[in-house]
Order: sequence, then C-alpha cells, then structure tokens
Amino acid sequence: MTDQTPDKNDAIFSAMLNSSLNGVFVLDANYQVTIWNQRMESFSQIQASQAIGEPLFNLFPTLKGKRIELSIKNAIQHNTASILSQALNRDPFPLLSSKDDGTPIKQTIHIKPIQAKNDVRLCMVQIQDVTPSLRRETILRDIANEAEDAKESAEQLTQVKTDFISTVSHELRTPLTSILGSLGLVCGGVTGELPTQAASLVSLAYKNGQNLLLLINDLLDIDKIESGNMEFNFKNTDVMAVVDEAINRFGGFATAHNVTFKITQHLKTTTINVDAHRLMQVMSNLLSNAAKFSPQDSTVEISTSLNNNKARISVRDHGTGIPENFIPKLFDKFTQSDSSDTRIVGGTGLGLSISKAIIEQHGGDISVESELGEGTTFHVDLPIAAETAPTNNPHL
Amino acid sequence: MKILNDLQQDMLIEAFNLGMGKAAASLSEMVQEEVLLSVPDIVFMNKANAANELSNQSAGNVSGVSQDFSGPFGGEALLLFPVEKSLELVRLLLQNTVPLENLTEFEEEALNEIGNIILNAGLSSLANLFGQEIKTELPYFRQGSCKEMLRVTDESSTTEDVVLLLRVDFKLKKHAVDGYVVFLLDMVSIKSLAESIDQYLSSLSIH
Repeated sequence: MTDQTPDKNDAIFSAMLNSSLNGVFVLDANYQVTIWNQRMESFSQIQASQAIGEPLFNLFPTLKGKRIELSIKNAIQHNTASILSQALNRDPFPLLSSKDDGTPIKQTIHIKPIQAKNDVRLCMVQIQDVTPSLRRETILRDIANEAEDAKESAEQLTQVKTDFISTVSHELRTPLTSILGSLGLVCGGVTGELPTQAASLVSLAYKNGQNLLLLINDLLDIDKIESGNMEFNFKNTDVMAVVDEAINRFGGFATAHNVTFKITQHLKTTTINVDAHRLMQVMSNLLSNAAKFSPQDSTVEISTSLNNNKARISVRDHGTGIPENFIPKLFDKFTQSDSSDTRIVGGTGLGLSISKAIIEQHGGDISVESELGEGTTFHVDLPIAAETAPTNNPHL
Repeated sequence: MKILNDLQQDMLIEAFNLGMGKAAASLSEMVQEEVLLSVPDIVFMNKANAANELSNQSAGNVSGVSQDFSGPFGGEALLLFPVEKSLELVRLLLQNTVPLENLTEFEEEALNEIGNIILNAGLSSLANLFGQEIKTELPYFRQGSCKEMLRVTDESSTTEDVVLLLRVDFKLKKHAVDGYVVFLLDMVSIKSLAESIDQYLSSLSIH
C-alpha cells in the first residue's frame, strides 16, 4: 500500500484489497506500480515496498512483447478493458503458489482502466490463481475420456458378439435344416419301415436336431431384438381370440405332458393391437413352460382380465414353483433354475428373454408370481386399442 | 431501416474489417493457427426484429460475450454464436477433443477472451476512425434465447430501440463458424455515430 496515513476509507479499502484472494496491483500512466496487495507479495515474492514506484516491466521483464503488455498499454492509452484467459495465455506472470510448495500458479488476468480525478489514467490488474480449478477440470476430462473409450470398446464388443451370433446361427441353420428334412422323411417312413433300434435312434436324432434348431432360431431372434431389426406387423384383434388360437395351436404341449389347458376367466370383447405371429411365440413359450413344469394330470389355467387399463393374459401352473432368489433373473438370457426337473424338461434358456422383449415392443409388460410348492403364474399385460386403431403400433 | 447512406455504410464496414484484421492477427498468434475474420455486411435494425433475425439463423439458444462501452456513443456490444457453434469454436481454438456437452469454466473464459478481442477490435476501429475514445468494460459470458440476449421485452419493441448488427465470418483451418456482433445502441448514440462518420468524411472532403 502507499505510505499515506490511512483515514477510515483508506483503512476499509486496504482491508478489502488485502483480503482478496486475487493478486491486485494498480499502475499509473507511466506503468509504475502505485498499489500492490498482500496476495501479489505472496505470489511474486516481491514486497510492496520494493514494487511501489517501480515500472512493472522492470519488475517483470518477461512481460515485454507479450499480449499482457499490449493489454495494459491499451487500458492506459485507450481506456480498453481486457481479459487474459488461462487457456489462451500460458501464465504470463512468473508467480508461485504459497500453498503447493512454490509451484507456478495458473492465471486468469483481468485488466481494467480507471479514470481517477483530474483525468488521471490508471490501470488495475487482477490475477486469479486458477490452479485448483484447472486441476479439477483436468481430472474431469480424463474421466470423460476414459468413459468415452470404455463406451467405444463396449460398443465394438457388442457388435462383434452380435455379428458372431448372427453369422454362426445362419451357418448352422442351413445344414441343420437339411439334416432335419432327411431325418423327418426317414422317420415318416419314406425309406420304408426301420428296425426298432434304428427307428429309436433316428427318432432321437430328429428330436435333438429340432431342439438344436429351436436354439438357433432363438439366438437369431435375440440378435434381431438387440440390433433393433425385429419387424412387427401390428393389427387389431380380440384378446380372447389370441388365447383361443394359442390353446388350439399348442394343445400338443398339454397332450405331451399329460396336462389340461383350461380357460378359467373370459374378458368381454377387448381389442389389442398386436403382431399375431410374435404374440403366438410368447404364448407358445408360456404354455410350453407351464405344461413342462406341471405335475401329470394337473390343469394349466389360462385367464384374461383387466389390469390397470391393460388387457391381461395369465397362465398359471401348479408345479413346484420358482425359488424367490431366482425370480429377478428369470427374464435374463440363458437362465434356467437349478431345480432338478429343468434338466429333464430342457429348453434354450432364451424363451422368456425373447418373450419379454416382444411384449415390451408391444408397449406391454410381462411379470411373474410364484410360490414354492404351489405353482407359478405369468402375466402378460397389453395396451388396449381403440376399435379402429392404426396398424403401426408403437405402443398406441 | 435506413440509418446511414451507402457511403457512410461502406465506411463503417471498412473500419470494422480493419479492426477485425487486427483481431484475427492476435488470435492467430495466440492459437498458432491462421484465423481469418471478416465483416461482410452490417445492418441497422429494430431490436425485436434483430432478435427474430438471429433466431432464424440459429435454432435454439445462443452463447455470447457481452461488453458495455461508453464514450461519444455508448451501449452494449455482444458477440453471439449458436450454442453448439460456440462449443465448436472454442474447442477448435483450444484443440480440446473431449465432447463434453457444455462449455467448461475454462472454455467459457476463453470465449470471453475471444469476444473481448473481437469486440475491442470493433470498437477500437470506430474510435480510431473518428479520433475519439471509447471506454470498454470487462466482458462477461451470457447464454440464452436471442430475445434474452438482446434484452427484448414486450415493452421495448419500439422503433427507438435500434441495434447495429454485423455478421462476422470466423475461419479457422478447414472450419468456418458464423457469429454475430450486435451493438445495442439508443437513438442518441445512433445519431452520434452518424454525426461522427459525417465529421470524418468531411475531414476527407468526401460526400
């Protein structure tokens, strides 16, 4: 500060200046220092008593020829204010931090012209230490970079996986179709009656081939869903028509497992807008699961109702039920309960995952309730359509 | 809106282009890449119309630098870019490749400096031309709709509120970014500006 005896205003001004976290100094029209606050003393290691009265460019010769010199001169000569950002000006003042063991500080500089009494021209320079902020921003950028790299890697991996599944599935399906065709003809007696043992072996091969084909088709469906390439053909239909058609088409599951499919509750005319083929795929999965996991001579109950303004189709079996800790994973891919009977009944482990994706594409939900020893109920909730709904869903 | 005649208008454009040339040289030195700035055209407009014109050029909000000035004519000077263009410009200049969605604190600061250089250049060129001094204040960053940036309110849509609108072409490497400089002037300042141009022309004995 200057060596004048401070009055009250001077005392206040001095207190404000010296409590600033910024380095502040003032130059006169000859670029000589007239004010030099405590923060500048700390940053520069130059005391006010040494700085005041000295030309700034003698104190800091490295400033000459730099933008800071021009900006200061413009302030004095042309009344122009300037800002020197850290990003575009690499710390023109040789200043050190008192906190970080004397490392150079990163600087943002404000230069402001002051017109004092009698047209006296002054220039105030404020230097802000932005080192901590810059450090935080660098960390933020590094994290953002890493996240971007990780996202890119994950996307590439997903694409590789998707391409692999698609290619392999297609390459497997073609010869398998041919194999099944031939085995089917043999099983059907085209080549004449087979010896008992041969017939049994051919039948086993045919059944396993069909299971393999199911798996491949499921893999292809998963691939289509994940890549967004599964196409839907939405049309209006009555919900009971869907249920009747499903029971009619998949009655064979009931016969094969010695159970009965029974409709226990009818919903009056309720229109849903669905892709009939894909919905049959879901019904096939639910009915086949229910039949597989039901005790012999039991009944699989199918009902329709309203649930929160949606049409609900429920499929209930009286099997062993699903352990509670397994339910959250039920709709994940390649997941089957560890209970012993599942190894006998088979399945690809993809059916429920595919069903969930299909129902979600319809704007609906699929959920499950289960109690060990009592059985399991799957609920499919679908939005109700207006009588004259458009053919293109999506989700009405 | 005809405030200046053709000769006065051409004089003003030339003055701005001289100033922009100096600003471009400063920026080129700072970023170690060639930066080209030019002012192809200027137009005086009612403030509300100017806000609409700028809205048509940039869908959505704009980012900008604001700087008050005073002297023989006074007001507020603005450098405006569509938000995504301001991100693009700053990241080109700073060679930042991380695609953060918003300007960071340091990018905002850098944009402030760029705006300060360009606006000071524009105002200095006027001051030099007329041999008068224009005092400028420190710049600050603003973001908002064009109406908000030009401070258009329902009450202020009168012919008295005139702005001087400059399109600034900003070219860096293979990229080109268009921005706008807007001088918000009141009618007293507009008249003063016209008088200053006339005085200058008189001194050159050109009419």
